[in-house]
Amino acid sequence: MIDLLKPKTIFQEVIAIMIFSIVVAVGFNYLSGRDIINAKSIEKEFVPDSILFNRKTIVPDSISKRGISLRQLQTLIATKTAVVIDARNSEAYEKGHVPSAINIPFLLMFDYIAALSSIPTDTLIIIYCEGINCELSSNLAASLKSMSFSRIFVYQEGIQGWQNAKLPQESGK
Amino acid sequence: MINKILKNKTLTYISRLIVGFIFIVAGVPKIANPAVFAKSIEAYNLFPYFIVSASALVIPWLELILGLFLIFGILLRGSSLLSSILFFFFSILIAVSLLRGLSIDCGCFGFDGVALSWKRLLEDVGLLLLSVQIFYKTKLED
Repeated sequence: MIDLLKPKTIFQEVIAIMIFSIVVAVGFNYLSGRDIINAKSIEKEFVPDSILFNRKTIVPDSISKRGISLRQLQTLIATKTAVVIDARNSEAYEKGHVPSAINIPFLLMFDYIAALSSIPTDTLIIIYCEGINCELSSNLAASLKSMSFSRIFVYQEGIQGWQNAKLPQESGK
Repeated sequence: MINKILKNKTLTYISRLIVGFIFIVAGVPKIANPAVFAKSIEAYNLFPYFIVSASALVIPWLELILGLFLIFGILLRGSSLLSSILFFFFSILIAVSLLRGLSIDCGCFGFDGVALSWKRLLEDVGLLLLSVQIFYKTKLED
């Protein structure tokens, strides 16, 4: 039995420090009363990978209202498995947007009906706008859902979240 | 020559102060705002959520405790070994992320707005060497 209060070997010292750190961390988290870090709260915020990355999965209503994370957006862009739509006006889009994103300003969406109708309705679509307080992306998502698109999610942190992570942007049309 | 440096008592004290101070400075802002630290870990795009959450919860406290233990000389063998393991892991993580072309915040001191860079990697390798020196010296004194 390892005597953790009087560790003798290096291994015992390492285990003692690890256990001490975990106990203090969990204890502080519990006693502080703040939900400072809760795996479930982070997980609940976003669409689960199992639904997002599986084209055949039907998206439940409760999930469809969730946003996607920056990590998920990066993966979707890298694997080219989603159409990313920038719902801001064309000036903002041209100034800087997420790479490979197309521009469909929510306020002008009816000008883009022809382009939208060429996209299969089961295509994974990710929409973003300026940031958390911007409603253009969720409004556009609601409109596209009414056009029978079934797999639409919003990247709620928007271009601000992308810029804060210092990720490369594209500019121009 | 290298053996002489590794056994140098004054260098060990200085190493303990430097590494300990860096750990404390890195740990405190993360303890104050673990959710932000969790976002930094998430941006590396390598770990599942439960690892992100567990790391964001435990690593800041481990850093603070290691910092205090190194400075005050408590369980020095274990502290310096854990410190070496942590800096080895951080160095690998930064190197892999740089090679993958990620342009993200380092998360080394919470969200400090400083992007990953080869300079950061060099700093971590330097701290790894100091930690190894402390470990070597304290192990010799057994």
